[in-house]
Amino acid sequence: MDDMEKHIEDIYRALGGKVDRDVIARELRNWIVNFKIPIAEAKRSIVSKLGGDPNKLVGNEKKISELEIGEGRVDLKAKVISINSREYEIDGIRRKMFYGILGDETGTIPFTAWRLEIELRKGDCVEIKNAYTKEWQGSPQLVIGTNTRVSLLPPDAVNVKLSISPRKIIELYPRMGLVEVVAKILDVQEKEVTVDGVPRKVFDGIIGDDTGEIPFTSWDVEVKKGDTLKISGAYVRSFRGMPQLVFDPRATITPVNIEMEIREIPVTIESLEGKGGYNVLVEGVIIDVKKGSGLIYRCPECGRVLTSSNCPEHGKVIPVPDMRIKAILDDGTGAMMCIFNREQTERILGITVDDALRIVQENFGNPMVIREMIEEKLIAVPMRVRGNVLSKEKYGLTMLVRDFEFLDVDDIAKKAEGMLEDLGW
Amino acid sequence: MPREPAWRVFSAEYNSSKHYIKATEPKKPSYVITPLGAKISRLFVVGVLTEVRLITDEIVKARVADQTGAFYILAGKFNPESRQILESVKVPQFLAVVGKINVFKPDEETMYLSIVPERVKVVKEVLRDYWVFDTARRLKIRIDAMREALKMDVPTVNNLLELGFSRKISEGVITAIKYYEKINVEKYMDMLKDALKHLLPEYKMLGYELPSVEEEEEEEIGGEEEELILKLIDELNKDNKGASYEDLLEKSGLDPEKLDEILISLQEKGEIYEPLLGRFKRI
Repeated sequence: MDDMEKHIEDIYRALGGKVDRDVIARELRNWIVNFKIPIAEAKRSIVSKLGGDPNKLVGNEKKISELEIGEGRVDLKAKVISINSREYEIDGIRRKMFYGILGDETGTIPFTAWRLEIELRKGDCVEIKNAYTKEWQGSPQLVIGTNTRVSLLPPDAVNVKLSISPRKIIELYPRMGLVEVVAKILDVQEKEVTVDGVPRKVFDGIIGDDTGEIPFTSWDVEVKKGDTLKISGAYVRSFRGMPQLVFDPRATITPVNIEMEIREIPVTIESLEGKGGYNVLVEGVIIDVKKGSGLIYRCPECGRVLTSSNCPEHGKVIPVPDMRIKAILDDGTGAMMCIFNREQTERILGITVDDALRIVQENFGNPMVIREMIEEKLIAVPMRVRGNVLSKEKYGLTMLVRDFEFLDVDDIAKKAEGMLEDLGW
Repeated sequence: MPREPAWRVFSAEYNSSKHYIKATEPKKPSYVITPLGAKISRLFVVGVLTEVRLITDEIVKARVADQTGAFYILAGKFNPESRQILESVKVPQFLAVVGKINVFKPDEETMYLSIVPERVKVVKEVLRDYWVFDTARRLKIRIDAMREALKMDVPTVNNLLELGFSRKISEGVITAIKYYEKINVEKYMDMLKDALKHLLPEYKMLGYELPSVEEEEEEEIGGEEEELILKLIDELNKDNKGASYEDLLEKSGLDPEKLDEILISLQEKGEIYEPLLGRFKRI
């Protein structure tokens, strides 16, 4: 359909099909060709002249449920369900981008805004012109780009239909629309904060189901440790490099009376890419041990790792020896850096920091011997690790290892037999 | 940027790859697409080191065998640690290798694949067994995804995602379908089962033959012709500068295409090298 036909169709629809397309076409040509009226103005005038309501003229205005991946020009009216910002740097200039969720009467969609001319807050109703959509996690995402115009509408100009999708904890990723989870409060702490001069209660904690755990923040909704709840209408944001579940009194929260078993399922590293994870379990093989592993020296004041006895912050200091491991764990679907602390490194090597100092001394002060011992112990070795995984755009995934164990590889024959059984030999 | 995963694939799947996506920008990875849709830039392999050859002063070529064939490992001057280990260990030996894909494409139809090692380590047999099991279960996922995709009228990434396959698997499988005309999924299923059976005690006791180097390569290219060329290279080695391509072409009576194929194969095997462009010498 060329532009002209599209405009005729728009007018035809605005007039409820009561006027013939030929009549509209003739009118339109007259206004545009003879009177050189801008197209938008011409369309309004024609609708008005032919007895219709010009407000029914909608350009590319769409409803959220109609949006598909890869739409070039989209107008819509929506309500801001959630909005967060993140700072980033381009060419040395710090900028701020926004992301969150928009909703209308047909559904919700995640959005990203590289630039916003007006300050938006949760609950604002907006008119968005000339945005576009792209693929994100397999679904459309609305992008507010440099050519997009955003203007405020009166409060409650848009009603939101909350399309709430039931999810397992493991499936949650930041910027997800409204979700419903059935999960158990594993830990919670209460605190009071002041937002815009209003004191509010915040409950921070950990919530889990049979697929995993996630930190949560509840605004003004009291939850107790051990409660199993159905939370309908929460959303997910990114907090400290990990997904976090957020809800407030607008969510429907009902206690459920089921025994929730928090299971330990190893997740794939690929599933953590771009989002990180709280207290996740991962199985893989250590395929590299990085520089900075083994015996290191730290500034006694700030803990910074030093290569000389000069701390950039504290000047001349007497560095304190420490041990750590930075290793790459890979499960075939992805890779992440794992950081093992002193106690864990001592456990892996079977030596203390004092032993390490002695060994280095015996090797004429070469600290590489410790790293080589680590490589000998870890490379190609399958491990199960647990901890928080942080996702940073520049560095990828990093796990601060909370706990680890070496996989038992002695029963492989049994596992192979089991798999052959399933495959029918 | 997430780090490229170290794929677990059996050598037969890796070596039967015919498609290569070359990086268009510096610092971006290149990929090999296997027939089952593994989109590989890095691999992790544990197998049996069966052969190590010095190709030049700076290049070592090694074979690491699994139950389905063997990977070629090519360590050059940028991989001194791996090279040093490969040069010093005795064969046979259980060996773990982490490395990047290496593609040699002498012409449109031919593609030789090897691995340039980032890490090489001598390991115990249990780790090889674990690798076989791990690789088998990863292969199973690709087989499942490929079977589903081949059932679809129009296979798409989204359709596979909806079935619960991961993004990398879904994209890889759809890419493979585009590139490969015929994908014999069942062949890989049989391969998977065979590999697993080798892990069972009753099969292990019977022992199994590692694929032998000579047999496999003779299948690829006639051994007699290679012998002829090797003899000619010795005979035509004037002034110790190596036999010239033109002389070889004339004396062998082979057509240029065939001769090229043989010369490449001999270089791959580490039998000859090219000291000057168009001159060939025995190692």
